[in-house]
Amino acid sequence: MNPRQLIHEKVNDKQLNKNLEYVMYQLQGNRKKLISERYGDWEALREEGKKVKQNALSRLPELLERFEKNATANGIKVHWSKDNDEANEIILNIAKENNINKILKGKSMASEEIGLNHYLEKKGIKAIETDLGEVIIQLIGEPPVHIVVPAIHKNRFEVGEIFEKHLHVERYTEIEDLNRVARTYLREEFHQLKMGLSGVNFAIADEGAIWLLENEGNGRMSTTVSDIHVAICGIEKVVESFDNAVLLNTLLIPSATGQSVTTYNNIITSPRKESDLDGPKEVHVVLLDNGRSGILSKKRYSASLRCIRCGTCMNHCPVYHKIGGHAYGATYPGPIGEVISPLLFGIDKYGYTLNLCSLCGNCAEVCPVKIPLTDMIRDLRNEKVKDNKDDILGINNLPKNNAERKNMEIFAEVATNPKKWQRLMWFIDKFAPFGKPFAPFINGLKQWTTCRAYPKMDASFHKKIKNMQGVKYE
Amino acid sequence: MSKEIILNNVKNALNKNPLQSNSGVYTDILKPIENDMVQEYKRGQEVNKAILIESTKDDLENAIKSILEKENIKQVLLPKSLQDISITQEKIIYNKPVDELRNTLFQVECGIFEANYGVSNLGIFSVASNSDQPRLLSLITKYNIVLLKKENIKENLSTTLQAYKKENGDKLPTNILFIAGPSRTADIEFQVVLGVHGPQIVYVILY
Repeated sequence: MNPRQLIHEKVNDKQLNKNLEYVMYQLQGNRKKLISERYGDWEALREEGKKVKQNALSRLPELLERFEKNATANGIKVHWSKDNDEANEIILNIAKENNINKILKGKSMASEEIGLNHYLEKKGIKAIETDLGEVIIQLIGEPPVHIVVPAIHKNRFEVGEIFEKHLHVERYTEIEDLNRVARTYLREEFHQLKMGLSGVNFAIADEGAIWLLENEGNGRMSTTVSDIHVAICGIEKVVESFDNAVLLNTLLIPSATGQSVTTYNNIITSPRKESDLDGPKEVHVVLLDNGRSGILSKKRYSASLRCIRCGTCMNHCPVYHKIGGHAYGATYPGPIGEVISPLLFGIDKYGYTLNLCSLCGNCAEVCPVKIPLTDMIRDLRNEKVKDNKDDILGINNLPKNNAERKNMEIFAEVATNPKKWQRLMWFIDKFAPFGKPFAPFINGLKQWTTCRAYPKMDASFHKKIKNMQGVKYE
Repeated sequence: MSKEIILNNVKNALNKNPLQSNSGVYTDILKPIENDMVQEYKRGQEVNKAILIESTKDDLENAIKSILEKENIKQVLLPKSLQDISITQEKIIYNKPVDELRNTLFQVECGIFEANYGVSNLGIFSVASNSDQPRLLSLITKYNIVLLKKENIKENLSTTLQAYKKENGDKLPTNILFIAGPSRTADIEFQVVLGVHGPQIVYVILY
């Protein structure tokens, strides 16, 4: 399915629209209420959060090495992977060395990014998701629709059908029952667990520790009852100190879900020590570059690496509300996805997602680390058409869009010449209302009118000004 | 070696695009509703859906007993430090490595343990793993009964982590957990359901 068809399908998916609309407004409302009622100077804290991440990025080589040194001293094995192939291979090898053919996963967007499940499956290793939302979508082979609430497009009836079909239980419609089904199914899996996988929210250089956030307890299970715990960690997740992580945590949770704190904050500093009675015997952290150092080199876009994956930009995006995450066709949807997907995986592959933005600016206003997402989206659009192309991944594979350039040239000429502009306005004023029946045949209007009302075009501005009392019209 | 490649790429990136910024400073901007730190902790802990019971050191056993009776619990998982507690329920002492106790652990109904700290501004408690109190005590059972000394309530995450560091010299515990209450999810229709993979009912006895 090409992107246009995919987007049309999602726009017209009434169930998806209804589910998303409800949840996105809830998430927005909860965040707003919590921050205004319970937090002091949130704006000042955003500024501090921005500084923490910016500072960590500015000293990334030093912090990465310090993290490795301290984590290693704690007994954690640190691996470095430049791309998804290498990260997948490292994880496969850990599994193979330990004769493991099944792993359980806590929620990790990085693992989605590297296509880990698919890769392991091809190598004969089953990777089972354990976050309730991820369980639901894994059963039907879909990617997450949202980075924090991955199955939010499915309602209880749909989930009941999915569980009935795939987990062979009776069809439940109450959420408590559905939760119990998932708990029972996974408890059996946790009981047998040998190798668990997780993401990382913050890697703390000074302590050589990783900090994981979650509500369900599946992440703790995956990282506690297993013999081996593997954590995938984007290199941009490293911060210097505990206090840095506390600050970002304070910004992340209200932004993500409108809570002050998640049920579990799980800080892991080492594998099971000799005196400990439980915990994994091995802890591995796989540091992942996969294009991040490339983003870091770009003046206009390096700030996107500040992202702490709260998802609030998508919760506040009017376009995301209508189409949901799948329409973006990428691991990371919504405004942050529009910026990092082209940069990480190629603007030739994901450049079209940049057009899924109305430049309303909501995302940049709510981003807890103040990433100027709207500016970046506009700049990336410009990269696609400008002459002196920056070395964005895949930029040279973009087809030349001469029509767009020609149209903009014509527009520039008309818009900078008063006579021509007036003539155009006169023409629009006279003839635009008659265009409606022809809209489906006129390029530009055709695309617009397939899912929107015919625009009301009023070009009588000059006439109105002319007729205003006291105006001397020349 | 990928390490060298990645570090070189990052260094080159920063040469091309030098970033400068002072680091940010954490300040606790949560506005307390109660004036007193302990009261604020209690309020928050209840908002986080734990059941809070106040007791005294001398009355602790009775408080535990009444919860066990109320919830009709038959089997209790205990750390070594609490093994002498006098209760009528079957006691399972977590004194062997998980590998030897796995089958039992997955069956026990209730885990009791002592929290290291409470965190006032968020209304959560914290427990660190050690040889006496393994990590699964706070995860694997349906019920948790958590004992917390009032004097161990700290202001926020930052001061609590400092306290851990101070207490442990330079060595941090293997695993530090901050727990808000029962495990929960809102993954279906954004409706909160308690008790997913961790405990469903969490009592905190403050003494």
